[in-house]
Amino acid sequence: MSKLLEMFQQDFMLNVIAGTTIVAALCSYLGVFIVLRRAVFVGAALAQVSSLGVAVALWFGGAMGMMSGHGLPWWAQPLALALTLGASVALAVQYRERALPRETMVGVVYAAAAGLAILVVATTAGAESQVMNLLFGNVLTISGSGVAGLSALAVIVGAVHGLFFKEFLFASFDPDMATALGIRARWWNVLLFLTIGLTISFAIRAAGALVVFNFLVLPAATSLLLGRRMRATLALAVAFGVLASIAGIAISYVWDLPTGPTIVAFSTGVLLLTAGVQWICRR
Amino acid sequence: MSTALIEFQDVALGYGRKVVLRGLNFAIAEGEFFGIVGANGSGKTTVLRALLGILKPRSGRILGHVPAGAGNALLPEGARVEMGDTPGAIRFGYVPQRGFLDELYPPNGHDIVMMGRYAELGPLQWPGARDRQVAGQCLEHVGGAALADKQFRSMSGGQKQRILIARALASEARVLVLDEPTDGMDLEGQKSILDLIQQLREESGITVVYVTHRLNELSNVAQRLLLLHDGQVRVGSVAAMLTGDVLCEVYGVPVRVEQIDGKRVILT
Repeated sequence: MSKLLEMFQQDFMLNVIAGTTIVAALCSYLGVFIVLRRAVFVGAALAQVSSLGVAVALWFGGAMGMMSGHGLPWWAQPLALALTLGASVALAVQYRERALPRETMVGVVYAAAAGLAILVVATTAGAESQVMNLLFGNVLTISGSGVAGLSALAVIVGAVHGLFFKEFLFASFDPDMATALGIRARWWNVLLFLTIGLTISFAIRAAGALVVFNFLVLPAATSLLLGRRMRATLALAVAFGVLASIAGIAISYVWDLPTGPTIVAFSTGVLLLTAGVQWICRR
Repeated sequence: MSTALIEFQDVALGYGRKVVLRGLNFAIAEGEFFGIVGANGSGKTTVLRALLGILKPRSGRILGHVPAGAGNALLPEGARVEMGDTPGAIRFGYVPQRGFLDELYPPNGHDIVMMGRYAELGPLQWPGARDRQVAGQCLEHVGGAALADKQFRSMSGGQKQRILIARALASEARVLVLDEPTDGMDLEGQKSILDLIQQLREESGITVVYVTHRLNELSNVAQRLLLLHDGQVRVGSVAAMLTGDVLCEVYGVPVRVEQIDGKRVILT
C-alpha cells in the first residue's frame, strides 16, 4: 500500500499515468471502430509504418550529422506522421478484391514496413537500445511535454469524432445506404482512418507498439461482449482501457514488473473474466 | 405514364476494365413498381449500384429528374442531374440485402431507423425530438414498434427487413430500392413483406424498385420489368415481358405463362 502511495508522489509517475491513460482512452475508443470494421491488423500495420518513418529520420539524421546525442531530428515525427497518414488513406480505400484480398494488402504493408525499419536501423550509426526506445516507445519515458502533446491529440481526435460521429458510424455500418442518401461514405472513411493513423503515430512514440495494439483491440473486444448500443459500447471500451492503464501501471510499480506487458496481461484478464461470466450467465 | 424519375440512356456498367452490362435504356416513372430480375451474377446489383449513384457508368448517362416537392435552391424541381455527380439529388430509401450488414455492430432497431434521418440532418447536427418522432412513426408503420429496443443482430430475417424498410422511410425517400428483400424467407414472411410494400405504395405513392432472382415473385405486383440474363437486357411492361415467347428467348428454355385465379404463373 505504501508503495502505491509512493507511486502517486513521484512526478514522473504521474506523467506516466496521465500519458498512458490518454493513450488508453483514445485507442480504446478508436479500437471499437477498428474491431467492428474487422481491421485489427490495420492498426498493427500502421504502427510499423510509423516506426519506419522514425527509423528513416534516424538514418538521415545519422548520415547528415544532425543528431545531437540523444535526440531525433525535428522532422522525425512529421515524417513518421506523413507516412502513417498516407498508409491510413491507402488502407481505408475500399476497393474491389480482385487479385489480392484486402487483408493480404495489410499483411504486406506490415511485413514490408517492419522489415525495412529494422534494416534502416541496422545501418544507422548509434546506440541500439536508445534507437529501440525512440522507435518503439515506452510508457515509462512519457514526460510532461509528452503528456501535453497527447492531450492536444486527444482534443483534436475528440473534436473530430464529437462533430462527425454519426457520419463515421453510418459510413462504417452501411456505406451504400449512406452514399445513396448523399453522405459521401468514401470520404468519411478516409477521415476516420486519418484520425486512427494520427492517433497511432503519436501513441506509438509515447507508449510503444505492444501497448497501443493492446488498447486498440482488447478493450473494444471486451466492450463488444457487453455493449447493447453503440454509445454504450464506446463508453465501456474507454472505461476498460483507462482501468487497464491505471491498474497495469500500479501493479507493475508495486511488483516491479515491466509496465507494457502488465497492462496487456491485465486487459487480457478482464476480457477472459467478462467472457467467462457471460458464458456462466447464459447457461 | 407520369414523369420519368430516373433515366438510363445507353448505359454501360462495369468494374475496372471489365464491362458487365451494356445497352441499358430505360426510365423509371414516379410512383411505378419497377422490377429488376436476374440470376446471381447477372448484374442486377450492378444496375442497382448505378441507380443509387454509387457506381458511375462506363459510358452513357444516368439522369435523375428532381421530383415535384423535392427541390431546393441548388436543385430546383424538375432539374435534370447526372446521378453519379450529385448523390442524394433523388432521395433513395435503399434497403440492402440484410446479409450485407455486419452483425458485429450493436445497434438496436431504433438506432438503425434513426440512420435514415442522418442525411436530412447533415454534418454537425444531432437527431432531435422530431427525428425520434419520425423514426418511431416509421417503425410503427412497418409493424416494428416492438423491435425498437431489440438488437439488430438478434432479429429474424423478416424483422430485420421491416427495420430496414422503416429506415428507408425515415429518410423521407421518394424511391424505395429493395435488394432481394424476401431472400431466405418462408412463404408467410415473403407475403408479409410484399403486402407491406404494396400497402406503402397505396398510402404514399412511393416509387418501388425491387430486385430479385425469382420472376414469379414480381409477376403480379410489378408494373414493368428489367430482365437480365447472360448479358442480355430486356425491359418492358409486365404484360409484354411475361409471355412464353419472350421468356423462352431470354432464358433459352421452354416457358409457359398461365393465368390461375386471375394471376400470372410462370411455368417451366
